[in-house]
Amino acid sequence: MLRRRRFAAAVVLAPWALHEPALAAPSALPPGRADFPNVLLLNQDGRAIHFYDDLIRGDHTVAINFIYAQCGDICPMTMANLAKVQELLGDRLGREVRLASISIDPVRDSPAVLKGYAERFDVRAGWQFLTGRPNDIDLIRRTLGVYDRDPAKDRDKSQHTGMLVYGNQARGRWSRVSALADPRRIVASITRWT
Amino acid sequence: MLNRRNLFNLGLWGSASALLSWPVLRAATRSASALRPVLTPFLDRLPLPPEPHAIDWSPNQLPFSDLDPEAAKHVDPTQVKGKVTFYRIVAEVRSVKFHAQLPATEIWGYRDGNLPAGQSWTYALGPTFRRPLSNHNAFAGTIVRHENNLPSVQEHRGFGEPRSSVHLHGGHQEARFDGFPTDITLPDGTAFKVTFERGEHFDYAYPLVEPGFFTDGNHGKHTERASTLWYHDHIIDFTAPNVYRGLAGFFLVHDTPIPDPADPNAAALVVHMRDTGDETNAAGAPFALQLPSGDFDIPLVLQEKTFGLNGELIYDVFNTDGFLGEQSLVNGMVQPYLPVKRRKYRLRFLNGSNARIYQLFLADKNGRTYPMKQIATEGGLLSRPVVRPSFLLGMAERIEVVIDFSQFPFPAFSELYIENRLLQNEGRGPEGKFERPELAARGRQLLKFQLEEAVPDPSRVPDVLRPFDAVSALELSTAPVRSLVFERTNGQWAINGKFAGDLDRAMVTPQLGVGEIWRLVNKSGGWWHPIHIHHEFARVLKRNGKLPFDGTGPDFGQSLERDGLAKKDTIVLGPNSEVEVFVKFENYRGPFVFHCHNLEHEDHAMMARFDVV
Repeated sequence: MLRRRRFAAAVVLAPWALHEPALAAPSALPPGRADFPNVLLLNQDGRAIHFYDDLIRGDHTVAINFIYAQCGDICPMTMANLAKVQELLGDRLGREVRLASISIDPVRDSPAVLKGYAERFDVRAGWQFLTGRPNDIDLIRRTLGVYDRDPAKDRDKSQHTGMLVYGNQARGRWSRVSALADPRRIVASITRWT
Repeated sequence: MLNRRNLFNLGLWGSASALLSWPVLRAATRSASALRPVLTPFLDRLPLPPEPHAIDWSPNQLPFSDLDPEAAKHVDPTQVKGKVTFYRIVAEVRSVKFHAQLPATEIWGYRDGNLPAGQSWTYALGPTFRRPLSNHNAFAGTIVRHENNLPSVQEHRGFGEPRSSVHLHGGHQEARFDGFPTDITLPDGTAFKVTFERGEHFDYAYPLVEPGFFTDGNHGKHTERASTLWYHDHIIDFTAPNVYRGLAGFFLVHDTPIPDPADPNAAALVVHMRDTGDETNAAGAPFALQLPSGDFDIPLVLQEKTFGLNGELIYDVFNTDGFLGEQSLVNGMVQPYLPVKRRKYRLRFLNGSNARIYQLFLADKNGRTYPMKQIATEGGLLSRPVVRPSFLLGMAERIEVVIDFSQFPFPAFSELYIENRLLQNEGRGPEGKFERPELAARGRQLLKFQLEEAVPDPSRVPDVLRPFDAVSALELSTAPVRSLVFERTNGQWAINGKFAGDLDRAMVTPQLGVGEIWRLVNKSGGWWHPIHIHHEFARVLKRNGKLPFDGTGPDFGQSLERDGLAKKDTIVLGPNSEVEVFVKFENYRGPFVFHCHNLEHEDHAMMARFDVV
């Protein structure tokens, strides 16, 4: 309403003021609650985590990759690499940056399985391993744009994304970096707003 | 927020929705409202951003007291050896009209930082530079101070990253002035700081000399003369949203008509002073081509945007296949019109879109098409003009054509259109193959020409433009060959099996002045990648094992690129394509990049560094 009143005033007082920059709508708002599924996930300790409310929302960077415990392809390398990222992050992990590894094999990957898996990489607080209903996890992958358009390829778990999707919800910035990139490159990317 | 003004423009896509592509629908569900404005085409005149105002300066009184020492190496403060031209460009938040029926839109844009008092900059694009080539005088170039007046990185909310690095695309300049995407440490341990934030600036020196000038002693390769360059943001990981927000402008280069009397090789240069930017040839340059110039030389950048009902820009940050917009813009206006006289025009097309590839036709209102005469690519003038029924235009490619509107007499013709008929529904690329793209019977009309009266036309398009020799067999036979294989594995871009995007170290290290053959291989199925190599123009030797298109034989619109005819800085790789190019980096050592110019691919690491050593 404020905007409309200002607009009307501008017309009355000075028609040339129509070019006043204040009238332009800001470019699209940062993706928020309506744009992310707020599905219920479980972390490796069995704690309930709402995807949007508990992981995404706020002025911190969240970095998400997709894994499964039985993955013998890229996951072991990816996880070892992210363990180095965890080390480089130091005490920023959990405060400025949250890491999340979401299972794409949620039927087999129970919280207990994920807990065992996480222990192999000396995972600290601030890096969560999440499982949930398969459809919900599909929804998350689709929302973040990390899936293959070819349904056969998309079902093939060995071809699942190796990208780390990262962003800051409050600031509306989202991007991706390969989870296999140089750990320093990953850290530079995911700490650029802290 | 809806207001009364917008209600007039409100409408649903109706029958058009059947044509809406899947990514568009997906993008639509992401914004607060899926409603989009419906815009009537051809209400707005084509904007033509003017040149920036040069900052005048007297000997020993530089306009910038804090001029960057590296840029200052290209300046003779006494002006005895030459007078550099200074400009100031400001990157800022501003409000512009993209269409008569849209409310104003907040963008990020470049403006002339030296506007006379009382003038404002209302364009969606930055100023259009028109600069002469400096021939052999490294002190008669151009220095542009770019200032960042965008929001701070901390304050900004929304897509894009308000940190700057500016690339002069197609330019031949030092690594430091090339718009490297990020700050790095060079192999010798020195800091290479080239990005800047709000309140900071960076001085770019563009000597605009001919490649080879510094390395082979005053005998440049006189044919290496670009014509249509452009400048745009090039910051790491966020070029796509930043350019989408508006950070782009034209930089046109033409030959000087008068040789520098102090140049010992002036006599040898005269034959190369062809594209002088003056159709009347007032200077009497003996080899001037007299191509259409001035008001009849029109740069046209094609871009796409999606608008919300309040005119706000909408961008899908999670679409990394490539962003396709709902509206088509030319020079920052949705489907504009241009009144034209019935005479020849030089039209410089640049594809400044994030991920849309075009195939452009000159068509009348009934869809009947007419040929156009292509005279240039991004590497400047062709050796000869080629008459074409249509042409493909990948991201960052430039194609110049001459259209003679006197061939369309009154009253049979009152309007003509530039129409894009290429079928493309997703960011990864259009339908069909590079050699045979799939077309619709009718496409979207991007630009309307309103034909006016006939006028005298002193311009010409000679049968020979800028002839040059193809790279010799001898040089090719000794050139080292490198393969650069672009792949997609696990949803990530890889080059030669290495995950791309590591700019801390060079992937390849070509030697200064030593030509190399680069085999650019795209192994991915449906993906298209226009590969842009910085620093020098490439000579295209082979495409899928065959000689590249030179305008003879069937013309399906594919890029005109064969060495000896054209030079390229952006090479379109269609699905499963292999292209061999010859590159020779001269004058400047240091870190540069090559990358895919699908901006979303570029931002997601489809980029590698090469160091000229």
